[in-house]
Amino acid sequence: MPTADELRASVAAARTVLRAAITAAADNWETPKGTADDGEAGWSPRQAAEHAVPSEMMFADAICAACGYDGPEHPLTGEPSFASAAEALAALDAVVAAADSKVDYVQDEELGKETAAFGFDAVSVAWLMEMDVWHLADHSAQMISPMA
Amino acid sequence: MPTADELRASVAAARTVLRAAITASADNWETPKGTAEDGEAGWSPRQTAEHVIPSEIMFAGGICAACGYDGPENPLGGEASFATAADALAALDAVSAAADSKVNYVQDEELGKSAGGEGMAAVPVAGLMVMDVWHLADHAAQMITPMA
Repeated sequence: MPTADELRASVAAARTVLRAAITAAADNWETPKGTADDGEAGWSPRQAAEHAVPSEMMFADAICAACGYDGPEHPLTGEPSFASAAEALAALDAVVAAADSKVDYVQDEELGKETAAFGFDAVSVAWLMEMDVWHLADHSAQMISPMA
Repeated sequence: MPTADELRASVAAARTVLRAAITASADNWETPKGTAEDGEAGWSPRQTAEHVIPSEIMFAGGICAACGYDGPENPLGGEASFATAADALAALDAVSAAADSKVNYVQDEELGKSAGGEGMAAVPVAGLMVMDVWHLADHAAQMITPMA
């Protein structure tokens, strides 16, 4: 199993990829990738960012719940609205700082701790961190997919 | 537009995410994510790695063609076959080194160059580097998706 430091590095890399995708999508920020029938795959980069960026707090909340920490303060209030890629990048910086203020304390021996999250009765801290990487990578790819 | 250094950093981050996905998939390396009808989405992590890792040389070759460089040598040779996640990680290291031995020379003023022609050949260097990020992130996400 990867260590906590290795998992944090993977999450950080996935956030870097999301930053790159947001930047690359700036000129077609509100252009849908498909139709409503396509579900998430049809979202515009703006919609994908308004989902993926706040989700960082959901992952951090679940990790804190599993570890028995108080959750991080949420820097975004209300419904997220990023009118531009620049706003999304600023929001991403804010949620990353908030999430990392807690997740940076996770130790290797806590990776197996579990909580109920995302509809599952029991998921581990390591699983949550791997799913965070997946979620970031998935929505990054969606934003810059040439297949739309 | 991002600089060449920023684009290289994004590609490096996407490779880090792919490494994490390969590591996380080691225990279900040959388990398909779906059926043949699902196309690429149904591939096992092994099949995905055998596609995405050699593609790094393809992207580097396209960038070199656009810039007028000789292309990188392919360290894999022949059909890619990665029996384990460890084999895939070693191959990823090798293709990254080969690709970077050329792409590290790309300057900001070359980002708008293209090889000329149709399809991928018409895409400028910056676009190819963003497509590389997309391709790596997309297949990394596919490997570790919980949706299968």
